Amino acid sequence: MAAAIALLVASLAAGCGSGGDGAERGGTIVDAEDQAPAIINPLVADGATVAAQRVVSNVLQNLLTNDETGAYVPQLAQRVPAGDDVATGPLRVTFRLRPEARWSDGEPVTPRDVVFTWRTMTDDDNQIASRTGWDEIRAITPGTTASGGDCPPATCFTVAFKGDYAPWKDVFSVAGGYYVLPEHVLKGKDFDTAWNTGGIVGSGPFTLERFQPGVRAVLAGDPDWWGSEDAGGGPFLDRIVVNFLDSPAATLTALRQGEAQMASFLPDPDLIDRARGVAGMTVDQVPSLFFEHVVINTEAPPMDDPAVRRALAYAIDRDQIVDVLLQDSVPVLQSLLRPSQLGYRPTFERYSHDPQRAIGILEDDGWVRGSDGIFAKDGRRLEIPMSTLSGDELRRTEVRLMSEQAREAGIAVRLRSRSPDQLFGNDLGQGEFTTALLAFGGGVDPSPTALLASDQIPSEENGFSGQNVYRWSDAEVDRLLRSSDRELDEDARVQQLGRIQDILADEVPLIPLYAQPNTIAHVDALQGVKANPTQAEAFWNSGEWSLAGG
Amino acid sequence: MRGRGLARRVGWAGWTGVAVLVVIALACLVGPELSPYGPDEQDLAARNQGPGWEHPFGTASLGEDVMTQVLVAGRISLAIGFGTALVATLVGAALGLLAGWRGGWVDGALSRFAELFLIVPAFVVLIVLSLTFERVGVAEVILILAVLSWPPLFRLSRASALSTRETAHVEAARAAGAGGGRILWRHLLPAATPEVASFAALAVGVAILAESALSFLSLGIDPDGDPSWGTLLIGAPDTIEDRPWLTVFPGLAVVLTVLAAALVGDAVRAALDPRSPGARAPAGERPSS
Amino acid sequence: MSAAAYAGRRLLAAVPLLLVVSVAAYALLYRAADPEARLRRIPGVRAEDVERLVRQQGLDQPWYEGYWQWLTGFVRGDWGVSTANRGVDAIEPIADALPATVELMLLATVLSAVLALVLGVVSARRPHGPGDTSITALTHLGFATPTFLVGVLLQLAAIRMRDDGWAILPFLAGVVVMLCSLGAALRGGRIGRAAFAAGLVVVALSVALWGRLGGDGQVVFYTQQRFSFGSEGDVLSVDHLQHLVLPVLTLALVNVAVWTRFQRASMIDALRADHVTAARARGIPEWRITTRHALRASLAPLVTLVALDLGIMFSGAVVTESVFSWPGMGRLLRDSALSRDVNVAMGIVMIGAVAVVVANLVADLLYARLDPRVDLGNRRR
Repeated sequence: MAAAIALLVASLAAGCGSGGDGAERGGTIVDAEDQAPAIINPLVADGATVAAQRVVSNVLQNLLTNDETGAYVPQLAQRVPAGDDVATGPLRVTFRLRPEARWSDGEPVTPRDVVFTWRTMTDDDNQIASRTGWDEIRAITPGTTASGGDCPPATCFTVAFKGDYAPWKDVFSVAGGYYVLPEHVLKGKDFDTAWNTGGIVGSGPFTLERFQPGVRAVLAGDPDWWGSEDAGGGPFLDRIVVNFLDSPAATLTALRQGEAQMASFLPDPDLIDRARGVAGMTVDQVPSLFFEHVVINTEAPPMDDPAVRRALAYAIDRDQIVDVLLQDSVPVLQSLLRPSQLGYRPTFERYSHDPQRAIGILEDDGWVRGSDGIFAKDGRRLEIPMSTLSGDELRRTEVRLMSEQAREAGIAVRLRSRSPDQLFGNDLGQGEFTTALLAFGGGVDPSPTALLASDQIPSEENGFSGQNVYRWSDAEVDRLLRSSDRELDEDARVQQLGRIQDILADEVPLIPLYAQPNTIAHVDALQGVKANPTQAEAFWNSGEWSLAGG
Repeated sequence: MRGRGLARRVGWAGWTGVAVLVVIALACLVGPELSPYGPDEQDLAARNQGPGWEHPFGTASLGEDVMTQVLVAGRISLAIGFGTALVATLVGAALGLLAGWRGGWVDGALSRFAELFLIVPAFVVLIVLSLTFERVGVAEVILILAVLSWPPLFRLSRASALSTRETAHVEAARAAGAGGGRILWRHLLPAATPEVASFAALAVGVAILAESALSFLSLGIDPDGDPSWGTLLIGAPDTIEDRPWLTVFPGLAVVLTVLAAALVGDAVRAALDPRSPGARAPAGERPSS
Repeated sequence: MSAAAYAGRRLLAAVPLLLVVSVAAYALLYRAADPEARLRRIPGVRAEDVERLVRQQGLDQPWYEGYWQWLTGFVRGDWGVSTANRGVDAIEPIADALPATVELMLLATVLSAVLALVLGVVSARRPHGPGDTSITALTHLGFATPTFLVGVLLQLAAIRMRDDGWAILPFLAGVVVMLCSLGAALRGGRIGRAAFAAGLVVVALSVALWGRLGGDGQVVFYTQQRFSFGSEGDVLSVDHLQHLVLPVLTLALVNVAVWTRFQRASMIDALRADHVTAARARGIPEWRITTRHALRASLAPLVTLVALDLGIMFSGAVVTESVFSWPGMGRLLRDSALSRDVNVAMGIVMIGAVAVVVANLVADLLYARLDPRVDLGNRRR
């Protein structure tokens, strides 16, 4: 009975806090980040950091964003374009801006701002970090719809792409790492330097009050925010202070000490465990779009042999990795795609831990077990170096655990630590690795083209920067990638993506382990926080946050 | 008779230092061979256990025996400590005596060279050098740390040689027709020995501390080989609250070794140079702050 | 030779050294980090983006061209532009970090000098006595513990104090006072007894008030950064003091052991000097002999050491700064070296090198003043 009452009280309290009428106004929360962006503009190369994106996502907005389930939701747009607003051959998409949308200086957000953003992103003089999608746009026309009709030019415009481009939503979503820029503020300025240390004018619930590189960013709630009504009257917080600390351990110490009320962690089980142990602290986790996986260089012997790759997949006990090292906080990932993405098909489910099967595959392939228990063929031991980042304790532990598991199946997995510079600057691009434990990820759109297309294999032509570091090519997959990127019919695209995932499970150029969790630890009093699986990140709904008793 | 006097002058603190060093070194050399566990041997049933009978120092995240790890790591750390002290002493003392003995342009050039290393703050050198190597092993760490440790030794032995050169003993020897090499070997070297030996002993400890700082900054020894005490301590900020044994034991190993080395340094000086009023610790570079 | 002429000659002689240092540092820094690695890690970056950025940022330039540009600018007072933040001159992040570092290191140096002075003098009064032995043991312990471990332990202590109150502080102070005055009290000195009693009272009081001083989440010492958001830039605030205590303590421990040994040795020397013996024969009380006659003569080595240490001050203490997220020169250098922000890193290296040159000079001048036996022209270093 008492428990039932307590539950009732708790649920009432929660109901009040989640941005409803009961939300209290005022208060400052301090967020601790473990990295310090050198500059605060996340669109240019030197600012493209998660920390900068987190700060700026309180200030800048895009036409769309993604919610806590990963679904696209409108932000500056009235709705996610669909039906008549999307026409193909080539792709044209009509967006309708919310008429009440305003920049924090009171100017309305207009289609001209979107045009300006497109020009800024594709201007050859600007050191834009990534232009994915923006360079697929042919024209942006205010006052015209996708079908060629007229619409109010103050709020309505059509984006015409060069061809059919299925991942178009990511270009216009915060989760793609992009934001709409104010033309009246930035026009005539050098975008590479204009917003490095402040001056950012956005349309979000907070304004950037101050940015001190290496120390902190201060965000102030905008009382005149145009979106207030949708956020239940927010922003409720006076301020969000983002402190840039030196390490993940420092963020935890700050939380422990009450020097910060909120932090978002990388998947570090020690820290997350300790955060859970702090009294009055809530830890919220959601599998993110970044996925941890074994990258296999399919050109490096012995991994050039598909049988060895399959044997390795059977030899590794992925359940045990997640169970032992991540306290079962996330499920094992069964594909290159993540469950929240369109077309996810768990094709790697077949690789449940089965050392006998791995041994069988290797024996059929002509491998013979040596006296040390490790297979060998033509005088070569079955030894697989696995590279990972030297400072990364979790990954190093994962590799050592895998090494122990693989030994049972006669495979010697050897840990090879590399500095970020070595791994990202040299090894991956030059193919100087056999396997590597890494997380990749990015937008919400499922297109795996950048990772799997054969023209993305690092080579002279692409300056060794291609991302198909698996160095794996398959004619059918190439064809499927090309067509699925142009396929705007979702069912057809799901079919094509499914086929790609089937082939991946047969060929095993990679072994997916788990989707890295996005973790937010925050004081109980901070209400309305919802961990987000996408790059829209922790602050995606900060306009709804409130501090009870603050 | 002379030996007894020496033993007494070394004092109980000095002998304690020697004893601790010997015990630690022996344990690190022999211990891992006697241990029933390998340093990387996993036992998932015994993960994250505190100290107990089975595992006196507890276990790590995959059930590895921390005691074996600490002992194996000691081999690396001690090798770095003694290796650095040895290289720095040989280079520093040789060049220092040469400079002090020959004087003139040799002295000028060598002094200038040593000054180069002294005017760049120590950890600037550490960071830049460790970023230069493709792979940092024991030898590389010794090289990096020796680069920092030799200039003070150079100064010490040069100053000693300069003053000894002018003494009546040396004048007399020279008058008696003793060659340069003989003077260097018989007079200048023995005179410099107390200061240099004492500094060298301290340098062992300083190198071990500096190694742990390098590891803490992720600039240290390649973590794939055997660990050092420094690499075992990297996780301290993460684990010290929940699993203190992962920090306490390697931490104690460092503290005891450095303490012992400092005591030996004090004692060596007191024993070899009985005129000195009290053991005087030379200013060591502390790149590890 | 006059001190001014001597100083001028020394500084002039340092110029070629600084030049060599700058070449070596530039070449090493330029090659230390791979610039493309940073670009490749940008989320969602494509091959064509990396290629374009390498071109745009001039990352394909050989190091000597970069060095020449840097040097010609540097001598004219232009330190170049920060690579990480193209909008600002390299001097700006340095100007932000310098006060933080100087403040931290200066306070730590002063604290360790004062501690070393007191402990050294106390040790020298009765060499090898119980006081000397325990001081030696404690200072050596501070010296032998890796700095980052000291920092982490102090942070843990701060967390405990926040949860359980800070009664431990007066408790420890009382215990120290009691231990120090124990000998004097046993010998029957009045002051000794009074001090012992006072210590006892403080200990008893803090035990009685255990758990009632602070606690309940009241922060006693901060563990991260230099200011809280609310008192940003206010160096005289209590908040700032709360931020300073732990890093200053961490850094101070480093030097106390070595400096105490120096002070002890020179104090023993000084106490054996003829004029001290004579004073003692005249029946002047021991404390007066110590403070009036011996102390000044014993100061030269410690003062020299402190002056030398001030030179290192300007380049920061990277380990302590990173444990406490202190926005100082050490972290700036580490970050700029790792991200190949060569202009910023070079600025720090040069400031550090010049500071060491000046500090060495100051140390020599001070030594000459304090020790009349030294003649500047002939002093060889």
